[in-house]
Amino acid sequence: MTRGDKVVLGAVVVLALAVFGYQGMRFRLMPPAQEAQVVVEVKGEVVETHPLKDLKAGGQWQVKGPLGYSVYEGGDNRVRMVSSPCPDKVCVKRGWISASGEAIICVPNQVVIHVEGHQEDEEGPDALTQ
Amino acid sequence: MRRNRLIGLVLTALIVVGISLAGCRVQERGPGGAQTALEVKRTEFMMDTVVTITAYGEAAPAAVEEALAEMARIADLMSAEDPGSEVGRLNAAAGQQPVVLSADTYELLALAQHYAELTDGAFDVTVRPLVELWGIGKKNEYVPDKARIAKAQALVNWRDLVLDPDTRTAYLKRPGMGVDLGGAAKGYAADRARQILAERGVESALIDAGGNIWALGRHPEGKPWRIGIKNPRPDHGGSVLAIVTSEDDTLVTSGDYERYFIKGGVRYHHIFNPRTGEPARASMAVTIIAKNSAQADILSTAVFVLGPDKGLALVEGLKDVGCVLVTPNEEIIMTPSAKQKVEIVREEGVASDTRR
Repeated sequence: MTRGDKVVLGAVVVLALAVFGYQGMRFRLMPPAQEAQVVVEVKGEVVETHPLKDLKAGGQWQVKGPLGYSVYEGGDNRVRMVSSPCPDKVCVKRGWISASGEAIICVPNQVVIHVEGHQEDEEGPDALTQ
Repeated sequence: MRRNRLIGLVLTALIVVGISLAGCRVQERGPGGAQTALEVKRTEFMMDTVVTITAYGEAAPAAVEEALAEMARIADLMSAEDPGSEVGRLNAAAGQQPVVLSADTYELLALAQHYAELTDGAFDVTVRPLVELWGIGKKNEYVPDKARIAKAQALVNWRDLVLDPDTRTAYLKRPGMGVDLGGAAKGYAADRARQILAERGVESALIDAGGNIWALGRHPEGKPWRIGIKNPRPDHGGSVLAIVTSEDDTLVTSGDYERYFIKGGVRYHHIFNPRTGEPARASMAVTIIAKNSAQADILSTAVFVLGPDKGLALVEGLKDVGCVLVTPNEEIIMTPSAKQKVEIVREEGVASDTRR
């Protein structure tokens, strides 16, 4: 291999890395349009994320908060809390949520389940007043 | 050999151009140029709800910390549930003596009294005895009998809350009275958070205090914010009622769906009409769009209690305030200023008259 070949080879590698890095940055800043996500938080920390459509209707999942297990259920592109160790059950009474920005909030057990759309998605609002 | 070197040079040039283009791409993401990639999102439990601040830019991390700490401070001052808070101490001293308050609590009580006067008591910050009696959203919620309602209602009267600006004190004249800032403190705290974020150089942020929204500045991509208004009956037409195109606005909603129970087919919710001692029946949901969140918080409750006619007339007389009201029949009514920003997105199938 001549020196020129090495230069070309090195240049191709650098170019590939540059393109890769650029795509990575692009991806981080502007992920492609995607469907709504269900985000589950305990004490303000995200513990689980599921695409909303992947929560099977009737399927139940549990998440542990300071008081015990909160149980949520999926159903036809929506999600609800079905049981909770909290005294007032505000979270269970909240019923189904499906739209970006909607949230089920259990203050006593410090569990939040909310639906996040994507920023590029023109349909979903940036926040929801309720 | 020479040709290879030439190819190498061309490729190197291409790479340099490629990298610099990538740099531009990052910068054009927002209004402030290079500072735009950074998003900070923090959530905390306070004020009996969840507060989330999402802020953009290099100033965001420190500013969000500070804003949340300030909101927690306000929450601690104004909780009616906590006997050690300022409001707790004021309530405990009812019928006994005036209590010296912080500038924050005093200022908010004064604002509440201003709107009590303006709404002829439709907003009444001394509503605490009714809140305690009904216990809505608590374990002991129930429908009290008429005698108990009358007894609690007799203790609700904003005129018997005396404020003295010289000593910065508040005094509840009769034992058993109580102040509840549940309809104003979240708004006040959000205003403080907005102020801190702005002072620290944040140009783009969303403060969500349990559904009270402060949309600071514009979206980081330079476009206006799009804030949804929740549909009070999501089974009729989907979860979002309307989209508000917003630049530096606060949006506060009072609805009969937030905290409630249903008994005998009747919905009992957490917004009381001081006149009847029962949950207010004139509205289903009220959203206020304004530039001051404490004001918006108070007005959303006041308009909810007053209902479409008196409520919207009140708002139309105020500067920089718009209102979207859903009637008990699920009609949507808006003030002229709101109409310019609000697009109804509720799916059809229910009444959607938009008179006014």
